[in-house]
Amino acid sequence: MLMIYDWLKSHTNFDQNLSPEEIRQLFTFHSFEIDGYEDLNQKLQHIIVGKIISIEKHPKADKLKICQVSDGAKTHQVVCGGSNLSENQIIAYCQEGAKVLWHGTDEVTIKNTKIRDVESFGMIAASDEIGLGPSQNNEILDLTALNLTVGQDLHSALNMPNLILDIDNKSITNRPDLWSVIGLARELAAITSTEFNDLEVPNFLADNTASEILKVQINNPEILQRILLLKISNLTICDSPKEIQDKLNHCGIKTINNIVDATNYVLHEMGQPMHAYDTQKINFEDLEICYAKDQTEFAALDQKTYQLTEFDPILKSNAKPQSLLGIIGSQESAITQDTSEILAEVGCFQFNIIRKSANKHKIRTDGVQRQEKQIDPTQATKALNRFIEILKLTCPNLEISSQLYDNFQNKLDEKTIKLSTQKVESYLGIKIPNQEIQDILNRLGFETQDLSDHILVKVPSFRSQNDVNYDYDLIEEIGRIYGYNKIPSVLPQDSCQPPLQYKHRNLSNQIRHKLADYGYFEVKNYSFFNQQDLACSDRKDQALKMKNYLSLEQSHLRTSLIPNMLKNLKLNLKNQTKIQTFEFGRIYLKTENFMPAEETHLSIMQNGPQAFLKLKGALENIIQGYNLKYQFKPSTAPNQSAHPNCCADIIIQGQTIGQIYLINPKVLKQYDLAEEAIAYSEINFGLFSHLHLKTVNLQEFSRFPSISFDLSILCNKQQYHQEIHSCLLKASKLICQVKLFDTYEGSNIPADKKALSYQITLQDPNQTLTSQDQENAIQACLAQLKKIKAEVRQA
Amino acid sequence: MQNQIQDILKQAIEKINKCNTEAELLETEKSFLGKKGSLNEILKGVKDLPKEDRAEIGKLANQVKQDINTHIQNQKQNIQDKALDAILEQWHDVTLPGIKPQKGAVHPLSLIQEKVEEIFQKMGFMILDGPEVESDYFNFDALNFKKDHPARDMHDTYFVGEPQNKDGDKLLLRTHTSPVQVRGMLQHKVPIKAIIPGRCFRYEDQDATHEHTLFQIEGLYIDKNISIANLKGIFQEFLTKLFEKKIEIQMRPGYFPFTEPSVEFDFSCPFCKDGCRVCKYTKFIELAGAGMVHPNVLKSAKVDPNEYQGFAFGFGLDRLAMLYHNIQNIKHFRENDIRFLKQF
Ligand SMILES: [Zn+2]
Repeated sequence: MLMIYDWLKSHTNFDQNLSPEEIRQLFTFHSFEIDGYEDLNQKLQHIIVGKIISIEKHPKADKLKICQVSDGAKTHQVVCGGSNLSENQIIAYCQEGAKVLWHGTDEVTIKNTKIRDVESFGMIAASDEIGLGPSQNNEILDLTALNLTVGQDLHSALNMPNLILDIDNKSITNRPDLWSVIGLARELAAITSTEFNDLEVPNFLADNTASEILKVQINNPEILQRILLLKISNLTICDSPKEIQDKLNHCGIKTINNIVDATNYVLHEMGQPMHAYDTQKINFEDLEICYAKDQTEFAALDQKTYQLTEFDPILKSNAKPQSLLGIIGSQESAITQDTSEILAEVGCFQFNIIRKSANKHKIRTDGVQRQEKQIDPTQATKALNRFIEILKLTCPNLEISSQLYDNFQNKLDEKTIKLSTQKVESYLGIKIPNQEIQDILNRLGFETQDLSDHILVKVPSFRSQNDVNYDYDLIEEIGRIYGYNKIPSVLPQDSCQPPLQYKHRNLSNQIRHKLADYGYFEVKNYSFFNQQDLACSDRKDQALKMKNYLSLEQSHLRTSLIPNMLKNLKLNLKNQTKIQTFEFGRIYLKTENFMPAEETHLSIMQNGPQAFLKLKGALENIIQGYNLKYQFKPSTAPNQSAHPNCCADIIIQGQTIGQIYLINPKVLKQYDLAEEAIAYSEINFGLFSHLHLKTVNLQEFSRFPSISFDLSILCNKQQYHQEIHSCLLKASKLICQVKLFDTYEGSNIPADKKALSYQITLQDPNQTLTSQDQENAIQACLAQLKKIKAEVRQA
Repeated sequence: MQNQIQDILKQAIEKINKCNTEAELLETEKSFLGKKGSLNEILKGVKDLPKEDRAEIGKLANQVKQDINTHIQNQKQNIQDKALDAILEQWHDVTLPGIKPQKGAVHPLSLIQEKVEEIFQKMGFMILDGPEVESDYFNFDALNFKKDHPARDMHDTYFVGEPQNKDGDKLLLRTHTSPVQVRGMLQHKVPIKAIIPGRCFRYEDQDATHEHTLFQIEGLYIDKNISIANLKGIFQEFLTKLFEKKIEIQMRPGYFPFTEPSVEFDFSCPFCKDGCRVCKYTKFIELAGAGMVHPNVLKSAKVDPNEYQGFAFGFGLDRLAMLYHNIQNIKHFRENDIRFLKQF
């Protein structure tokens, strides 16, 4: 919202001349945020009112003229290409150092120069070059009609404000009273401890002798908090006075005509939206406030047609909506050049009804911005009088041609709050004297009464709706006006218990760093799935569907981490060939309860040769690091996205905590990945972190030497190593280690067989082994192998 | 025979001195002193000598043996010294690239989260978690959002498309970590001091500054006499520890439905004295929203606001990490490009 700082300031006794930056800080630290500002005084420096004394042709350019320009004291030669130059014309003369917008866009600083060999001292400005509105046909700004003193600086000659503030709308959403000049002036006065001078308005309605009484049928009283209606006639449409136009323009409001401008002026000055209907299309026998019927067509002032529904509040006449109340008027009853009589409306509507309707039709007028925050209804009559006062500037003979219709449905109760100064101190952590507290509140418009153990505070009407209700609301007022920056930093005296250890967090942090050390990169993906992701997920029946989403990528919540990690892999393949990633993230599952289940999963992915075994090795290292006994067991229920013959359950302490697998090549194809083999593991980290972690129990090692021998074993191709391994390990008590060191398939052995070579180590804790021991162990191994139909290969 | 023995000594010395390696030396030793060595070969003839000569020859042979051994030892020493000298003379290029074990990386958001958690844990804060798919009640009602608060409008919140429960409650993706304030108090009771790191969601189109998925840290401290001054104290302490530098706090008014009074926090720029690009030449950096927990929120958590009070704060972990590592675009955190990740 744009605001003229000088306008606010004129309603206070604040007389310090602060820099724009200081003013910004003042508001920021006590009240609201300023998005930016325009320093008009600074902008128009070195630009003065000049007069063209004479004009000659430029000898070398047809379109340029050589002007002699008076600055009131001296005459300067200026080369200018303006199409509307004339002698004795009053113009904006930019002297050396002035900043102008070249062709209305790029800022340049004026220098004395030569133009086509003719010296030129400064520039005659077009209006768009100095930010005073658009200019056409290469015309310079002609100020002749304004009767200005030549030589005066332009900023003060035009009576322009110094500073325009751009207030951050979001930071005043909770302060309906700040959406006006008067409200902001009161705030400025409170912050600066100066006097606030409220707007004084004459009462034109006091001796209203008009006989017509307006009748309105109120079908839905809940729409209204208050509405005033008044017929005003004998009006002539014209432009608003220049001062009114200037103020509105500086606040970014388009000027239209005296009547529309007057409604906008009151809105901006007092924060009270108004509407004026041309009475020609209004049937005063048939005025109704109600909700629209479904599918009513409404042609609005903005040239658009809206389909109204039964949630849209309207003023109805002649069976047609004449306005969408508090939001926008109709095209039909709009003010035109021929308007001579109006129905003026001052409305304070139910904020939630307005917000809902305006949001649905996506209409954001200045009126909506105020109506949706609930307007102080006690200001309505004053606003109407102010409207008449402004209108009288252009229509001094206007007539009030009806009695005032004033429907005040919901009168406000007087609101008082008990405030304990002890609580103020306890909340803010600093003692503010009782008198200072009262001063602050009084400046903000609260009345206070000092009772012995507390202050009784009366809330003004402009703060009493949706704003200040309780003592803590007052503490906020005190805190911010006093200044939060004056509050010291104090570390509290502790009475809380020191926290527990967080096993889950500690484990995930440790594993995160371990995986990083093993060469894996941590990724963090979105929680969403698209339709295709869902298809390759195991638990798609449990997937939660989104009601609203920004793209098709977000149609569901993820039930596995794999799809997004495949997308990461694909992205990274553009820049490297070897990719190892991991993610800790949640998956979301529908349950029988209202609240879904959320599981934290750890997933690890890698490509390249022997990806599966490398990934398995990394996992084994991590699991062994916690001294856990584990098993990778060929899965009987491979994951949907797994290669059915390359998937193992990870079993720890009898619990399956996850799976490790090669990703099914069909899934890879769906993701447009030409990689041969990508290994993947997903672990339910919640289960993992609940495992009982055992401390290391030292196994004393034998002082006697061990002996080793190798066995090459011939078995079926689909024989699992694990089976042979455990079979060998349990063959003899003396066998303490069995290690696979070679696998072979190919010539010399049958096509359906493979050879696995193991090194077997024997050790006895109590004595040195003999060659007989070794022979016994070999025989025991052979006997065991026979059981699983494997044999020792003869070298 | 004496001459023969003396000759052997002579030959041996000559040969030993020619040895350049320990292996040669061993060979030489063997050829003179071994079982089948030349000395033994000669001594085989001793048995044919007269008895009185035998003792003398024996003495001489021993002497020669010792001499040869001494020479061998000396030469061995020489060879070893030379070998060491040779190693020492070798030139090395210490600027050649190191051979690294393959290295991955922890995501920068995890790194900063660990730092933040550690600091708060040392200050005695619990670390709490809550559901990311949250109920409308905990996300809004319990936090004093009125039914018609604009933040509830569809454009801010992702709703999960499941039917409502019988109380009319709906599921949504939490828009902030604040629901865990209430959940935390209900579960752990008061007094409580906790931080809540976590993922949040906003139904907002993405650009350089807007993201639909955000990482936040929420803080909560409720006891009998906790004030705004304490909030300032805790936050200053946290940032000072994080940046390992004395940090100043600046507080301004703010607005949040679940705090009253509400404030916004800026902190003094840890990267400059007189303004820099990070602080946009203002010497202060905006970081957090905070305030005294609204009594209605305490009531939602079954805490008596007349007995207990305290503060809550929230800030973006993304923003903090961006400041900490001088990252300009939030997109980097979500793209998972290894060229980005490997820098951490
Ligand atoms: Zn800085």
